[in-house]
Amino acid sequence: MLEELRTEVRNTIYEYCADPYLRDAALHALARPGFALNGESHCRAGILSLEAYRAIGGDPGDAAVQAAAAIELQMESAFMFDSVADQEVDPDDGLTPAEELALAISLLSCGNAAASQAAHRIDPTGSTSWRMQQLHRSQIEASTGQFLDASLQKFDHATLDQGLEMTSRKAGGLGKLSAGLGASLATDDLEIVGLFEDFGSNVFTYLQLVDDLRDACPDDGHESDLRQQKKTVPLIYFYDYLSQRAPEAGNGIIPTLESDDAQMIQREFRQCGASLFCAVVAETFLNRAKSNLADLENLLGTVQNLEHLLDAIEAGSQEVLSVT
Amino acid sequence: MEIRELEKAIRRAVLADHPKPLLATLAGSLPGEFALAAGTLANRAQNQSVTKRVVQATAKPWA
Repeated sequence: MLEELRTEVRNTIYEYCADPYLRDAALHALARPGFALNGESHCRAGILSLEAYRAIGGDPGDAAVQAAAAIELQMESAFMFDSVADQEVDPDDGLTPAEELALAISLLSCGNAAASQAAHRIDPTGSTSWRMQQLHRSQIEASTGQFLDASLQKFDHATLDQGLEMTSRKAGGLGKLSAGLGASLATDDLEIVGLFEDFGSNVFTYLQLVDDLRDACPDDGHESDLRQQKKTVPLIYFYDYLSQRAPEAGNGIIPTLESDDAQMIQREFRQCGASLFCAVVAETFLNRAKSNLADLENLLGTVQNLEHLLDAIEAGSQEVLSVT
Repeated sequence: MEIRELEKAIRRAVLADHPKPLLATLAGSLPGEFALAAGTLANRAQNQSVTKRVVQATAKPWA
């Protein structure tokens, strides 16, 4: 299924980005680590869309695969926006931040065009507008999360409520649109589509929290979110802890770390309970996703494919969430 | 979700230098959804450490 999805992503670029300079830049960008055309990528958003479709409508046909490719392009567009926002555009990729942003907008538009075409192929005589409305609402939710993320960066202080809201909108919005589009292509039942949207939102929020915990203060030498003073959930907890320990820094203001010793900072991060805290919050979202699946099972009879998907996601996260 | 309550509970336990494993103890005192999540994590951690002990105990050198 992954290879079929990657082929469709490539076809979508050829169809909608006809100009060679845009097409080549898009294909080059999509081969980056973690992106859809990279052989190591899980393509979780596209696969979630396909599995949502399969749970309701059986084996996904060409239109469902096209919709999943559309979702992947929207996901990559969000990643590229993030790289601009975080000032992490890699010069080795050969793009300036302005080019990266222009390419992100192109991929988003390309994804929308493909999603619209997929909806029309599924239901050529009916109205596709409600499906696109659902999709755009979820996109706006994810964009709200990105806006909130960018806004939080300009303040010294962020609260845990703000951090969690940003995460659940930004990542949750992407999960919502992934599962929601797949489901909406297979059924007109808004209750079922809504449950899939909730499921996607909870799964992606869980995954984002696991990523945030992994990247907060890694001991493998990778650039940490802490060094960039990102306002992720585990780090907001850590900043609050440091502020209370050094009250002169002011409540909630990110204090200057006392040491550049990476090992000492990692030890302090672990000891303050930030990992525990983030793991419990992440697990709570995973439990919500499981509860969504139970509701879907009541309505659909069986959701075994989604249970397997969730099991694989959960198993892949255990090393990061291993806390006592 | 009262995330502040979770933060306070964990911070209190950490500052009080609560004996490990923290999670198992916390699971009984956390509000609603968090109690379930902490319980699951505690069980998983316990199972992992049991598995590790079994592997260590059986992985004896030949000699």
